[in-house]
Amino acid sequence: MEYITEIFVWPAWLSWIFPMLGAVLTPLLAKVHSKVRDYGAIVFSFLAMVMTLSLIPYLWEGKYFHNQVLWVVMEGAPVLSRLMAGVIVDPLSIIMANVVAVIGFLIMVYSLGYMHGDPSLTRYWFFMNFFIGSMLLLVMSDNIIQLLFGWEGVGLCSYALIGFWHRDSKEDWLKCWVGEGPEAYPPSHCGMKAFITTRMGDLFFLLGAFLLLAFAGTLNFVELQGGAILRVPLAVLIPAAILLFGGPIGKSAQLPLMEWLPDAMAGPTTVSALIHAATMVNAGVYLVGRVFPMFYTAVWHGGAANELITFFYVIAWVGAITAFVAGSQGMVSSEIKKVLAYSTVSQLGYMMLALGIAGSTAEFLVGYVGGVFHLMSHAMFKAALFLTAGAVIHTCESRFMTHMGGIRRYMPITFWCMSLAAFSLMGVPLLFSGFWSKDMVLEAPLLAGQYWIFALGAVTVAVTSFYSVRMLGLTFFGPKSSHLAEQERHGHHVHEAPKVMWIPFLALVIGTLAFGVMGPFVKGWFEGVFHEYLGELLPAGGGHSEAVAVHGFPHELAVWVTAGISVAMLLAGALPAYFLYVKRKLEPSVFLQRYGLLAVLRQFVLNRWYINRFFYKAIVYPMIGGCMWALKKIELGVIDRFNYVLANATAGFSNSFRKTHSGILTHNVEGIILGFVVFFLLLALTVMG
Amino acid sequence: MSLETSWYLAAAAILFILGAYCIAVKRNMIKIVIGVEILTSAVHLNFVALGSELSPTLAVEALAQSVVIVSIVIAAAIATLALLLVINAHRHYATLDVRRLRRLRW
Amino acid sequence: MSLLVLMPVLTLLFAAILTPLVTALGKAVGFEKARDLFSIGAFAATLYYVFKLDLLVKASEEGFAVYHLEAYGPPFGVTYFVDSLSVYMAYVYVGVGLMVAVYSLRYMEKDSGLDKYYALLLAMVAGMIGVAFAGDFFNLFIFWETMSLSAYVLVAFRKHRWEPIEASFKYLVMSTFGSLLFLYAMSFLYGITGTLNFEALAQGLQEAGPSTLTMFFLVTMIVCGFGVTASVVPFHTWLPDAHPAAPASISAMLSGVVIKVGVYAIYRVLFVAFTPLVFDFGTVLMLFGILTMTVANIMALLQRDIKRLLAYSSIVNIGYILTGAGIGAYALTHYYSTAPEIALVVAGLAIMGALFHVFNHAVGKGLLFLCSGCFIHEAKTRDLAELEGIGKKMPWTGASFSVGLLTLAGVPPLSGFWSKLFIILAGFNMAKDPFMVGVTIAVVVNSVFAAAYYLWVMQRVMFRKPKTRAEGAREAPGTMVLPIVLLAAACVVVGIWPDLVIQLADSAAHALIGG
Repeated sequence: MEYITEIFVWPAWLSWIFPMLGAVLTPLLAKVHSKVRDYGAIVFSFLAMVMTLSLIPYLWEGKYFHNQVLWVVMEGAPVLSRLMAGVIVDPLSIIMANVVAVIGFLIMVYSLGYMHGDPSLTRYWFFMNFFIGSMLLLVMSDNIIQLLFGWEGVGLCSYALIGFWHRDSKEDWLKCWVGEGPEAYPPSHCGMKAFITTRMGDLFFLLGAFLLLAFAGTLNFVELQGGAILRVPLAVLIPAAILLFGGPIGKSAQLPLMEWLPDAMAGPTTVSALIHAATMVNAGVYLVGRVFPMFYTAVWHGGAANELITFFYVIAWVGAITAFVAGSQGMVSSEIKKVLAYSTVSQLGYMMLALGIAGSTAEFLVGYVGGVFHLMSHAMFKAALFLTAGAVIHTCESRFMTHMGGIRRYMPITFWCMSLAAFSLMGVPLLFSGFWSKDMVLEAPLLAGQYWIFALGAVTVAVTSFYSVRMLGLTFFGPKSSHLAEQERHGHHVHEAPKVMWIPFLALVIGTLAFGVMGPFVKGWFEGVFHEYLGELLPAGGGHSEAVAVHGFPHELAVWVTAGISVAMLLAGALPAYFLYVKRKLEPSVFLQRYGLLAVLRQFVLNRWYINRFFYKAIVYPMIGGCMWALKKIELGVIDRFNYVLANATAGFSNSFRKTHSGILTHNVEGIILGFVVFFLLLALTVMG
Repeated sequence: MSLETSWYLAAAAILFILGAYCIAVKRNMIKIVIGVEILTSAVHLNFVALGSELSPTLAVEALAQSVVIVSIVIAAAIATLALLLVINAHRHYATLDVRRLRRLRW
Repeated sequence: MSLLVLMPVLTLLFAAILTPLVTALGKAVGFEKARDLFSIGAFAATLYYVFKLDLLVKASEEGFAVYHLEAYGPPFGVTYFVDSLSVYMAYVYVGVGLMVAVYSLRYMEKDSGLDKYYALLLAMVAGMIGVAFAGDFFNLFIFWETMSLSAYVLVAFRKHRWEPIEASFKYLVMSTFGSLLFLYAMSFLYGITGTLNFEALAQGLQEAGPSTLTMFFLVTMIVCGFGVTASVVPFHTWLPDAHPAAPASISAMLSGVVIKVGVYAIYRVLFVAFTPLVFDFGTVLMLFGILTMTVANIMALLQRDIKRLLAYSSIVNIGYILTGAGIGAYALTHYYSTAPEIALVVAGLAIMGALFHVFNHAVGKGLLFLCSGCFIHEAKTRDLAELEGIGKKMPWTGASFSVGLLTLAGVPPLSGFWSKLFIILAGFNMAKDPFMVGVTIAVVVNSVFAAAYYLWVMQRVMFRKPKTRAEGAREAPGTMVLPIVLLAAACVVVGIWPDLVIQLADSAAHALIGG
């Protein structure tokens, strides 16, 4: 890897400075005119996109750079006495930044239509631009400390935007609450939940970073993977790595911290699309990808560090299990956005799986590139899915699929876009980018000989196609629901989305198709780019330790086996769903009645595997109870009472003491004489001893 | 210190106490102004007496005399001002009893 | 030996004398504001001379500049003695005076007899600077009385109302009693040492033998005499009457700087003539300082009258300044013999903090009184309950008012925080001494207590819903807002870069205690 510093560095800095500036200017522009504010916000996100797009040529040239400026100087500090801020431009950050900025820009445009007329738009634009800025800051950072600013910035924006409709009014129940029954939450609750859950992960992340800092003496990625990581003793490195992984687990909603993402759907759909599907949740995956080289270095160049491979297995298994668990929940959910949210968690699981597998084998390229490729293609089709779902929710005024049905004739563009994006999600062969990226992800465990992980991933393919087809069927096929009939009685007809909304998701669908058609080339090109970039990490001539060199499937065979199995699984999931929900030949409830086990399973999954409930019972409710107790007994009972007593006593004392100031001149002069005497006596007393 | 000077000093001290007593006890505002004048005179007497002690050969001691003369001028100004205030106070309060001037208190 | 030493006082005095002439000329040509602009110009010129004098003092080898008549020099003749402490005080006086003059331009325009107003204002500041520049008691006394007489008249300036008359009479009687007390002490000092020059007095007193009852008597008389003007409890009872009764611009002068003249005189006389190395006056000063702030705090808590509350808060701050002096003197008295360097450092810190607080309180309290003048000007009431929410209607004034309250409450990063911090730090530097710990804790507790009502006032003025009287208020005119905003900006800027003032205050403190 060659670092060139004299290259023109401004786009990398400006990419995150522009949207930040836009965020700051939003309230000011709002003073001018609401239109100026709206278009101003979009212009700034457009500028960010231009900046990131101008970085793409470096991918072809193979020139990557790393630029630093002095940030904070702490003389005499044991570590980081000269803290540098910097940007790093390499394939990973270029790809990720373009995903963020391009999708961000499209969604900002879409917001023009979707959020039209909302009274709090200033806040909305502020946080959207601040989000894009923070996200790009996170992506471009060359060290963990600077990254943390972006990391927490996106968390803050996520919190603020999930709870965008913070009034929690029951009128908006159909639009922005999530869940049903005992697990239904208002937006402000969901925002809080997201924030606190991800902060839990961040806590571990911070601890891990401190550990690294204490031993390696730097948090700069380049320095770390350039050898500083080898200074960390093994006994510290493993806990540090696992703690560091806490951040991605929270941010990317992996088990056991996955429960916030489905509830994050309480925010506007644009927010769900941008933050909780396409970009912020990918930050966790991105971070794993970012620290991957340095831990990889530690494993394969740091002597016999076989133990560290456990860390990568943990990542892979967490990803695989999350993928399956979340996917299964998507099969039964009744809300269209929640299906997509579970699907997001599930796909993030795939990416984690791929990166984890990559680290556990010497031939990391397939897994690593698979993870990054899947990240990119997922961002595109999932953003498209959310935006189309937003269009449907917009017109049906409900988030429940049972309130939709039979609307494909009324909104053909939305229908086709959503179908194509869903095919990409399912991994329909050849034409869709999802197929290629998912196959790469599944190929990796096969090559590494991790057959159980491969099996779990393959089953998840069936699950994915089942819920995708089910979602399409419930939304667009079959008879019209009673909710829509009711709406029509009120003179409100289902209609196609306006142009400003369908152009963005059409662009995304075209993007995913383009990558799908060129799939093999893109795949090969990515492999080439990353091979060139990370090639020096490859153990030279089998110089890696023999003990961990697992030999799985031969490479040529694996591609075909994976493709075959994934197509088979695709059909296994899609066909039943097709008959049940699209053709509506069979009634799902009949099955549930006939097979009791199925009903029990459904109930179990519907209750979100009881994970959510467990967290509430074990942590949230006891915590709130304890705090309420403290409030009543300690705050109100002791501290407040003490304060009142103190305040009243002081006021009372003051009131009676004031009477000494009679205002009569005679008394005042007597005061002088008294003071004279007292001063004299005290002086005599102190001097005489 | 000569015996003669001590007498002067004692007289000045008594005058001073008298003046302070006058200010601190009397109710009539004009009497209070007079009390201030008595105080002033006591201090002047003291000054001049101590000055004469410093230069027994000379009849006048320059610095003490200058201070006292300046102070007399100032005392006159103060007395004028005080009496002016007394007149105005009488206009507003229709009394010369200083104890009734207590709208400003606490 | 430079005539420059005389220039600040002379400029102001001549301006005071010329004001009626300028007024008449202005009337003749139909430009009445000429007299206002003339006095503003006089203050500006004085500020310039003070600045030149500052450079002169800094450049001089011995650290001070002296002026006296050739034939009539010390130890008998009058002397002007200017060191960095004098310059520091003069900066504060003239700075606040300039702001007040600008403020008066519009604030006083409805009053009559403005030529006298400006003449008295100029004479008062001349007197204050004269006190700061005096090298002997005689000089000090003359300028002291110049200042006091002007102040009495200015308090009673709106003599058609009852309040200024009552307040001014009380002020006059008590203050005159005070000045006669120190004049009495002066006569004894003269009798004992044969000189009124501060430097010569210090020698003469040491020869006379320090620990006699006469000496205690003299120290008591001097502290009580100056203490009346400095409004040390229990000599303070005139202040809460006189300061609110005056026009707001004069309240700002009186509370901001005139009471500091009393403190300055105590500092100068006690530290130079009765050096703390000989006399243990620090302990009693501290006790009176604590008493001052405690009593004034208790009195301020329930005030309904905004200006009266601010007046009591001035007494509180005098308490801090006095305690700072006490801590410094205590350190010198008790630790100089065993650890001279440490004692000097601690005393320097305490007195620097106290002098820094002089600046902060002058700026902050001047600001607050000027703001209250704007409020009263608009709402026609001084009742806090009626003024609630007025800050919302007058955003510039309201915001500056909040800054003033916060700086006096000692909220970082405003300037008031630093000075209190230095005083408290100096106290805790002698943490082995239980008495000092007690004093320091008392200062801290009083600080917190004071913050309570400052914040309360801020909450009422800034955040409550405006009442009927406050509802109609509009922002004050530009020349009234300008000095307010400048003073508020000073609080913020000095808060962020305290070094700006600390350097001046530090050299002033060391001019006082040496080392």
